[in-house]
Amino acid sequence: MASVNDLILVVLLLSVIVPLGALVLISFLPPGEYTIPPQHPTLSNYAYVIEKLGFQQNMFNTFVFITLAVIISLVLAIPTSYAIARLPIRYEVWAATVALVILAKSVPPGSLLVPIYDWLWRLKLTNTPLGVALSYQVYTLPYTIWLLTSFFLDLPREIEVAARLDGAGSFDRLRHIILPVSIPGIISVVIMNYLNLWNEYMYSSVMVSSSRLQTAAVVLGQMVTSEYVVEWGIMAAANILSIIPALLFVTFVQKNISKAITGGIKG
Amino acid sequence: MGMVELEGVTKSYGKNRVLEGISLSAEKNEFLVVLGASGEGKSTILNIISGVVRPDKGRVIIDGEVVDDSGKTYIPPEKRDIGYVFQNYALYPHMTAFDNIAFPLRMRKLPENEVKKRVLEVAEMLRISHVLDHKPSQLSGGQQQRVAVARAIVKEPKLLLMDEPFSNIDPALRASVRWELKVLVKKVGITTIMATHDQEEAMSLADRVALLRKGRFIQYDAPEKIYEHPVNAYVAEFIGGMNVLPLNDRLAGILQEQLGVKVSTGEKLFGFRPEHTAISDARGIPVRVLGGEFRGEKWVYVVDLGLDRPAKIFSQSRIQADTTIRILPRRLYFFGEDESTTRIEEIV
Repeated sequence: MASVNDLILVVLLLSVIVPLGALVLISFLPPGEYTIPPQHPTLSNYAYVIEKLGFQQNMFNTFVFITLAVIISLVLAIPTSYAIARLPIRYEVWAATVALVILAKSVPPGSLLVPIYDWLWRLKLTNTPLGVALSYQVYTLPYTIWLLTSFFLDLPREIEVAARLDGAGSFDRLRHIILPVSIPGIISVVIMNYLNLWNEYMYSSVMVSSSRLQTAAVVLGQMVTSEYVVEWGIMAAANILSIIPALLFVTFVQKNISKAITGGIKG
Repeated sequence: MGMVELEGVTKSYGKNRVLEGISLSAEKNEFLVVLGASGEGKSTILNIISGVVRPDKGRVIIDGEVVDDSGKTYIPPEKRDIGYVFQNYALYPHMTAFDNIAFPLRMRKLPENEVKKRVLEVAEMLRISHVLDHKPSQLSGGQQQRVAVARAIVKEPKLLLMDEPFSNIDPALRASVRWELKVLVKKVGITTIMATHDQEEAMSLADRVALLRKGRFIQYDAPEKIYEHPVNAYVAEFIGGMNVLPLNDRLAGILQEQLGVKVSTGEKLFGFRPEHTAISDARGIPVRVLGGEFRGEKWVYVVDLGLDRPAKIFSQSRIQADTTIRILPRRLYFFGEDESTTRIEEIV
């Protein structure tokens, strides 16, 4: 007899699979047909999305912006997190710093939209990949600092003391000991940032006006909000295409995610 | 002037006073053991010498150079030229054994061929040449310890510090590992300070033992001197497991009548070592045998002298439990009100 747990699991699974399955089926519907399953399945929606809309370019944009944002975040967050985790500062100062990071993390991203846009506009960085990546820091930077700090805090202190006694200064310690040992943590934070930003809409749509630089999520959004007839088949095809990289990515890094969560440090 | 000098070093953590103005001096190439129960501040002493922890007061001098002086002078650990073996070894998990050992040399910017030569040399000495390409997680506990020792001595530091280096070694192997380490340290010729809570370990390794209690060194001497002349009842019990027992009038009478030892007023405790005690047919302290166990080379018996705690004696033969026998200690220790040793009597 199925237990309540099994039942909950089945319901959860169905709630994911049914819409996803519907999306796949819809993406094969020829224009003007509204029966499911499709009577005359076609690949024309995909062909349209790729050939006419050039949707792969938008997906590539998303990828570039996120990559840039992740790199900026890591460059800023690694020294910051290490300092928060290890600098011998007074507890009150430390607590205040951590509180600021948490505060930055809990500020609704939308509330910073206007000031950031204004700032990037003055710097002439709107409509540039760098500008979008900078605006993404609203999401990635607090999150990255937060995750890396907790990761650094969990590193055994002895190996750093050992490195000091072996004659390594703080930069050598960061470079030769902390960073290599933290690779699982860094990988996990990169993965989480990619997954979190893949569907980002608000900043991507505001910071970019030229269609050449639009991200996949923005193009998808415009398909629904455009004043023309919503082409369900085309929208579904574009959606499926945009899911594929994320799906591949997760499959590929799944081992790393679990490794990051269980922490790969053993003496 | 010694290789390492501590002068009036004081350290508190919050309200908890760990070190109460300790002084210590280790000669060049001396093997010094800081012995104390857990939580007595042994690691704090090592950390103060290495510079990881700063003392509240006092001076630390290494090889004639003042490295810490009550907050005025401070030379950071990375500049002190100290090798350190951690209790959990603290090997770099992402590096092979070779890279672990090479790390201090590479930090000194030695040319790579010199690094290689010295790592291979020290690995040969510690018999870990065959595991140099392994990561720490692939090494056995004993091999990890050797790598840790190799990493500590490869740069030929002025000073080697070891914090409970044997506590993660299989007890069956400890004695032989200990022996090897002692031979190695003497061969390399390096001033060593080791912290341990194990008195047997301290006795077997040390040239001198510094016995730490309540933030002070209560005795600092060669192991055999401490064994023979413990300064107080605590040391007598801690080093070598002496039977320390309360003195009452009845027992004072027995000691005088049977052994011809007169107890002076003010002597509250007396003691004798199990290994100094013979079973006698004629004179001796009458005791009741409570039970015993066979240890191979000897029997260990627990006997009752009619006091609130029993004593231990060694015997070469089996003794029936629940019988009364007489024991004859060859040497008696007496302790005063404050538990300090008042005198040592040889019984002839």
